[in-house]
Amino acid sequence: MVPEHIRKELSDHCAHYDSRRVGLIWVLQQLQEYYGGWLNDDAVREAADIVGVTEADAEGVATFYNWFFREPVGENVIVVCDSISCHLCGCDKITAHLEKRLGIKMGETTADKKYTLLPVVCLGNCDKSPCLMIGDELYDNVTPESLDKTLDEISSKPKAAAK
Amino acid sequence: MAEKIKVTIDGTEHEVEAGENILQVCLDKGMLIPHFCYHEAMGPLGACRLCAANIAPAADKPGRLEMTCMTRASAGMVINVNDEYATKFRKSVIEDLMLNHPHDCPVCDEGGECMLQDMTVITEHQHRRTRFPKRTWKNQYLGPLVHHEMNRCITCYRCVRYYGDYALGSDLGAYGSRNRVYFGRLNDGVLESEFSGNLIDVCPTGVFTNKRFREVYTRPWDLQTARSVCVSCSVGCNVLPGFRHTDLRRIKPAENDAVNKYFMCDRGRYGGEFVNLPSRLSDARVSGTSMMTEDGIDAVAAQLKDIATKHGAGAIAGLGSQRASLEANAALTAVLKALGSDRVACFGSQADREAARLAASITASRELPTPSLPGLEKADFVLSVGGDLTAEAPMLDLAIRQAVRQKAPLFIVSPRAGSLDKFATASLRTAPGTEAGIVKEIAAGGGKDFVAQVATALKSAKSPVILCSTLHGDAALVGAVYQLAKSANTADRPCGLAYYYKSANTAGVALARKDESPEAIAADAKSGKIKALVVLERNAAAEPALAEAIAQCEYVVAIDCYENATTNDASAVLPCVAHYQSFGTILNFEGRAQHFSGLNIPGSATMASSEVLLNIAERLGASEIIQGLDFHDVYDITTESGKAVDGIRTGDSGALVKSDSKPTAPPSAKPASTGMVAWHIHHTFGSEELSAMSPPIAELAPAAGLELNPEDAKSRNLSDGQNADLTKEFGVSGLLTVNAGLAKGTLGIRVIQTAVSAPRKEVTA
Amino acid sequence: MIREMLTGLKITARYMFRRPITNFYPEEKPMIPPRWRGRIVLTSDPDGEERCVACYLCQAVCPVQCIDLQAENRPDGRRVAKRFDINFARCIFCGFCEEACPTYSIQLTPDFEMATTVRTDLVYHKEDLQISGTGKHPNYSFWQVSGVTIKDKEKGEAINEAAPSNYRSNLP
Repeated sequence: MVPEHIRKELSDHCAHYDSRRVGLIWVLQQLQEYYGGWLNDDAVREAADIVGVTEADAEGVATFYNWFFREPVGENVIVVCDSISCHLCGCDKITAHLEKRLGIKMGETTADKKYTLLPVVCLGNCDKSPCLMIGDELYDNVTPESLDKTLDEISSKPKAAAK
Repeated sequence: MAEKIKVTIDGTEHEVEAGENILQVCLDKGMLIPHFCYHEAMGPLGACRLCAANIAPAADKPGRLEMTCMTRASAGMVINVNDEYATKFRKSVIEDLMLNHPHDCPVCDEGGECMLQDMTVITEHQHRRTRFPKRTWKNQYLGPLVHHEMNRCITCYRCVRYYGDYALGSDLGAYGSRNRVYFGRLNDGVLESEFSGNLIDVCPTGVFTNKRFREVYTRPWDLQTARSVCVSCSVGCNVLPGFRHTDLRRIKPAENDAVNKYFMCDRGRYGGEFVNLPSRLSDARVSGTSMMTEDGIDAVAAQLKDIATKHGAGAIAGLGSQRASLEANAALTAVLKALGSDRVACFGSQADREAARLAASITASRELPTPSLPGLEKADFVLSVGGDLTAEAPMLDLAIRQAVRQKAPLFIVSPRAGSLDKFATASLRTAPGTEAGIVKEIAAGGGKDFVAQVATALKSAKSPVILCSTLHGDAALVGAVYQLAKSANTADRPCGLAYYYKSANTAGVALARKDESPEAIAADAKSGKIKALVVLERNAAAEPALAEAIAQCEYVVAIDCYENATTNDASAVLPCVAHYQSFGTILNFEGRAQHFSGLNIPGSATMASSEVLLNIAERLGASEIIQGLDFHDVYDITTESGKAVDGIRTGDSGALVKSDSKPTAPPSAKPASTGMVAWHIHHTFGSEELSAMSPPIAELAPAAGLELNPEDAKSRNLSDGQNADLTKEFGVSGLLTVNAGLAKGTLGIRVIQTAVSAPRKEVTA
Repeated sequence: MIREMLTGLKITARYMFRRPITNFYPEEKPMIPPRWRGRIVLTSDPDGEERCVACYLCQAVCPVQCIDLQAENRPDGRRVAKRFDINFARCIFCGFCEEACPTYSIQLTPDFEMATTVRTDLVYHKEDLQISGTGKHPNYSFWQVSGVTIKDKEKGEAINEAAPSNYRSNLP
């Protein structure tokens, strides 16, 4: 359960709209952030409760969008574009490199809960393919070497304080 | 009325209303454009992309592919359904929808009435060209009524649009996106809605199918059907019961614009299995000897004649039935008349009788408009008084949900919260007997809080509707509601008023010219003045007011379709066919006389109860009485249109009946009691006599017991789950449920018919 | 007239010296072509389970309405015929039922020796019709290609089926 003040803040936000249901996506986003990057069953139930929609409705929205994660993810979610431009520019190599370096397959999370690897369809950055995102950062013209450098940097950073 | 315009459909000019949905226009004109997601009750969505046609705004303008369900008719429009490109497009849509279809038509229960099958044949799609593996889903357990087979889904969204948007259910959702959309509950579990069975009809494929029908499955073309009227409550929905061999296999709603169109409640849909009970009667039984019905009729007629000659005409009385047809009840009076008696009681208690007779006479006086189901859906103010609509007249509840969807304010005054309460603008919990006072306050216009809110909303409404229950025997309430509706009714703003009743034909028997209080007959039977009772389709031995009389009366003739306490006690039992095999006329809550027909199936009785009684009358030598038997002599009714009530045909919209007599003044309200008042809680499942015997309904019925408000329970030192013994005060005891949704000062007694949930009868060879 | 008589006698005389063409049936069995439409059987799947899924299509297509059946659901998830009767007194051996059968269950065989003196014996019940072989289609098994769950075959385990989807998955 989120603390009462956050709950109130979220609920007040919904009151801004003609229909409270409009606030559902925003509430789910906030709860996803609060619950460590993904929405567990309780979070969806809570969102439904805060917004005042049925649980089935909240689940429908939470499972509709790609960026709501209904399964556990690691600290950093790496999404690799596998759409046409990136495919032509060799995203397969990037994916293979990532899978090898992290020791996981697409859709999996590393044992240390540091990385989750997911495919994505187009990041709107086709002129700089291949590209990928780690967390909220966009990386373009990625090569295995530049990727190694980036991952080294992230790995050396201290773990973000847990909420 | 919208403006009439001309459009060209496939080269032929048609006159249609401007702005009308093109798909509906074509369907109405008998042209079948393939479609899935469009449903008249739920409107267009444009999700399935199947109803595409080439549409040009004018003859000289180029056309383009558009979804007909999403296009409104405009003048001069040229619609080409059979356009080559459109035809090809529809075929490709079906091919896409069929990509993941699981190749299980031979074992699918939708087969034979499957829209996907029909549309696939229409579009001439034949081969699955792709070699990719098929997507699959796991099914869910959705309770004893609906079977889930998710692999067959074509994502038309009809189910969630019906269940969530139309019926306002909350536990069915659509999850996921793209080609991974799942329709179901969050977890396995029984569907909460009382109208979940309609998913079966709404789903164009076999995702939702009838779980009961599945067990005794037969293809729809093999079912023998005769259009009937549902017997499970006083709404009188039109139904199509399907029989095969010796059994009723399923019940489906039948379209009738004046009553129910596409939907019906689960009680009606699944409550018909009482027809198949092993305890159904097929032979007569006279003094313990089983015999042919005709011989039984002879014996009964002789015995009755004997009693009449020995003890005089007054020694014989009849107990009429609220679930039997007008014809059967009239035939009962004919039998009594042949014996010289005119003593009939159709109700269970004097209070019930007064309330129902007053309500029926108010309705039949036609002083105030009585809303039909489609009318209720358009109301912009709804006040429900005295009962739980969902439990006592389920389809009225569904109609009101439509009004609520159109933002009509809903107010509820009743002793106990029901499932409609969560949609109410405001509801008032008040002890039984005090509702009349509140209604009077609303009529007076003063008051504050709830009363003021209702009064203000009523004043500003354009088509208000007031609904009142007569199941709790409160004639003062019936009268008060009438006064309120009358005061709100003006020439330019009619105020609808509807009463609903206990059984399918309560409204009919309540208009009988001759009807006595059951207490009077019971007293005479106990004192020995009445020697013989003829009980028509009624488990009188289970009714508190009559149980002793039945037990003590010398000669009891029971005419019924199944074994019950009364037939067990009776000296003579004559079998009649069950409602869905029978025929006759019944009056629903709005006083609409509807005819129903049935068919004879092997393994059960052969005569309808009316025929049994007429045969007895004939044996008594009363052919003249039978010849002269007229509805209008027995019942105080004529039809509004002047059509004879017995001239109504099965399947037409029936006829609203009219009564000549003015409603009698209601008895003045009893002074509000300061102590606790007992109140019968009716449940959607398990409270109605016949449907409660159906196994799926019995499975869904709550346990019998008592309910108290938390404060009352505390003051009596009772807690939830405890066995409460209130025999001294109220003559009841049982498991106590503490319910905060019950008004203070109310003792709720759950009416649960002790269901004889015998296993379904074997299908015999 | 004599001429006509002689013509007749000539034919008789010609046949007198031919070999007799009488078939010594039933001692000698005739050659019946394999696609002969004779006695109807219900065949079994390659795994030995009965093939009939009680879909009622044979009953629907039968022009003389000699087939009557009732479906039931077995505890293992299969739908089978609880009762399956064919009245051979009425059957015209048209073979429509075989054509309509979606599971290759009902098949007509090259056997016509069903004569009896008791009319009711011509009503064959399920136990009379069911055989343990696969008949003309040795490899087809309806339950293995359809998406319905039966015992030992969960969702996604039929031929050409993907594993059950999960709408909560993070993967697209």
